Amino acid sequence: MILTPGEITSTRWEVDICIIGSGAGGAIAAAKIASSGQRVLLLEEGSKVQQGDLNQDAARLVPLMYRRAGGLGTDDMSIRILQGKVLGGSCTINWMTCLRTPDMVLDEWGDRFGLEEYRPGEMTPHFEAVEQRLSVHTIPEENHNPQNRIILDGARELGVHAEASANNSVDCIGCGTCGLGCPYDAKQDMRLTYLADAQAHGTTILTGVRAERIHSLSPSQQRVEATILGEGNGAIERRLEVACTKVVVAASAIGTPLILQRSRLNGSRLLGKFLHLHPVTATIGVYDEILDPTYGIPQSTVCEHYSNLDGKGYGFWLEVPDIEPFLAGVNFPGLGRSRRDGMRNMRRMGMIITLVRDGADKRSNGEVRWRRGLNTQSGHLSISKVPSIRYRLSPTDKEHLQQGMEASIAFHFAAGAREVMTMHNQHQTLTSPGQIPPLRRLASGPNQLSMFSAHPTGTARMGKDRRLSVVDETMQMHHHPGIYVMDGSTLPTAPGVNPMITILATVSRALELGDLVS
Amino acid sequence: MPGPTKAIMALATGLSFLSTREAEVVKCAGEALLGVPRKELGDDFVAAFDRVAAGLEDFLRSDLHKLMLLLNVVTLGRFTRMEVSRRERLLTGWGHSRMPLLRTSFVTLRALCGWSWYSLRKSWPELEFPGETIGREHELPTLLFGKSPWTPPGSKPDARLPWLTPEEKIG
Ligand SMILES: Cc1cc2nc3c(=O)[nH]c(=O)nc-3n(C[C@H](O)[C@H](O)[C@H](O)COP(=O)(O)OP(=O)(O)OC[C@H]3O[C@@H](n4cnc5c(N)ncnc54)[C@H](O)[C@@H]3O)c2cc1C
Repeated sequence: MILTPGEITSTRWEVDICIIGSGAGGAIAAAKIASSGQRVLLLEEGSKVQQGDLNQDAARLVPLMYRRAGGLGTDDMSIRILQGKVLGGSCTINWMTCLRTPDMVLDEWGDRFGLEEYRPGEMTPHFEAVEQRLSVHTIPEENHNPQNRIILDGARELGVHAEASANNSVDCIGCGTCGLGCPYDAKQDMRLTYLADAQAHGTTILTGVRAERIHSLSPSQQRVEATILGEGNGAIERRLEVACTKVVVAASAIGTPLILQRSRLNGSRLLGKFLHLHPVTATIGVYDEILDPTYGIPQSTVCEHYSNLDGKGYGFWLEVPDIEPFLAGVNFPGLGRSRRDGMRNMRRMGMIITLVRDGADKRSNGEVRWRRGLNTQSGHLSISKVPSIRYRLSPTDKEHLQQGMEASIAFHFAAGAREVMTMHNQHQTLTSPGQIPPLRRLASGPNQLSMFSAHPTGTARMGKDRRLSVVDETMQMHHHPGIYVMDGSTLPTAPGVNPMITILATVSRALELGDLVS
Repeated sequence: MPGPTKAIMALATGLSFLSTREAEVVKCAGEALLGVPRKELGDDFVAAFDRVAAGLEDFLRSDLHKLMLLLNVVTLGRFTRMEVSRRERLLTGWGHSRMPLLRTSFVTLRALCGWSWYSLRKSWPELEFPGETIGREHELPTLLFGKSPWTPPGSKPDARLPWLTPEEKIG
């Protein structure tokens, strides 16, 4: 059963398990826990959306389904963060790429964090199971749009390896509006898969309900305070309380540390730290022929040739995103008339994104926490505490981003681009590969080179040693028994691939190891 | 909750976040950043900006008010009366500034203006973007992927959209 704010009549609930957040982590946790016979209540701050609501109208749907109406970012806005605030979490608006965590990453978790249970051999059955539930398949050769062919053609010309990616769709017609939720129910997102399973096993989902605080009274007695938000305006309407034995926090790598800190469940000083973003920058190629980048399956191809530049599994990979006018309009470089003229070439544009597996220098690049006073990064002065996201690229990650940008330009030229634009504030249009080296001289610090992210992870990382991690291998908090974290926060390092499958499979594994599924 | 004066203003202008004065600042910033004349941007551009701003948390909304104020202060109240080219130079300077706060302001304004304009239907014809695919699926170049006539969910077989074979489409 899914209730919208207007349909919620009871403001006091008593259940076995309360789950906060309905994204990848929360959805699979709800499905598995409910199927073991426990009473599950899931709280989701975002709205309930169904196929009929997803009418491709960006002006209405982005404010409805994206956190901060699409305006989420680091304090200084140097990295815009795309994140869902909707039933099904970010998976409802994501671009469907389904890649398994590389073995090298899982082995790093074993070596550095003692997570023997997550070695490749142990994880295989979990990958297989989630892939089956989400109808994951490799995208057939004939289904790549011209934009995605840039990766294949460019790689062939440059003599590097690139290939078809995999995604979770059924009968996708390539309308290209994945970022606004799938109007054809082709995307097998959480609403159609694990949340449906959870409901079939009796889970109640309350939408438009924001969890505010958790009161942990004992390891088997918790109380969650929440607010029912007004439909449409997000104003606080009524209070709601849930009494339960255990709480699963799955509010994403941004939302989870904020709830736990506000609840004073911050026994670990690492909570909120080690934010990974897979920071992204883009290059835009302008081609003679029409590519129509607004249509087709986003990210249907991938080049992972450069994903292990340091021999330790750190580097970057290249993909081709979803281009919709509003997304291109936000990120397009330049200013004034030249910007407008550039945008007019949209049908001839192709965009490559460079995604960096951040964390190569093994230090915390970023942190999510409540802050008050003068925020030196945003210039904001606040008497009350407000959410803060800070992030800076470490030297090696910055170098990988630069190399990725350079490689993506080479791909464009190899695939026949007439000119290529970068995302520097000092607007650059290159007309030949020979112009790549001087790019290094351009200012590329915060807000000098546009960056964005759709992959926050790591703020409540998992590990055996409580001094190095926030949750144990079952995803229970080391310092707060009875409280579990099951979402992107728990990944000990950035996964180095688009994270949805990693999150689903790791939560599946943690549930097998722990006592939530009894 | 907006105070009574704000509520009355909102009723009069249809804007819930921007004041009339700020609405003009937004239009002028949009003109310089997007290269689209003020008249063409129109009131629906301001309304789109207002809708996104209204969806932000309180503390960010107050930052945006300060940003508009800053534009007026640094130009001694003349921002809306300046030549477009001067406004463009001023904002370019912010984008290249050594002061992080000015760069943040530049990037925020450019993103908000870009989003507000290009999410409006009236900006699409010059991009040759035909808009929603719902109801015109048969025109999609990518429908070739489906390989067989595609029936919109919930529709009866006789309501099926006209179908062109891949050969006909390419031809
Ligand atoms: C535009 C976009 C494209 C992407 N493309 C891909 C892709 O192609 N492949 C891929 O693998 N990954 C992709 N991702 C990333 C992927 O979707 C996320 O990594 C994944 O969904 C994260 O899962 P999560 O459970 O950590 O959080 P989320 O899925 O973000 O879910 C968290 C949920 O918790 C809710 N919440 C937060 N706070 C509260 C609260 N206080 N009370 C109640 N509810 C709360 C939120 O509203 C949200 O619905 C993309 C993401 C975006 C935004």
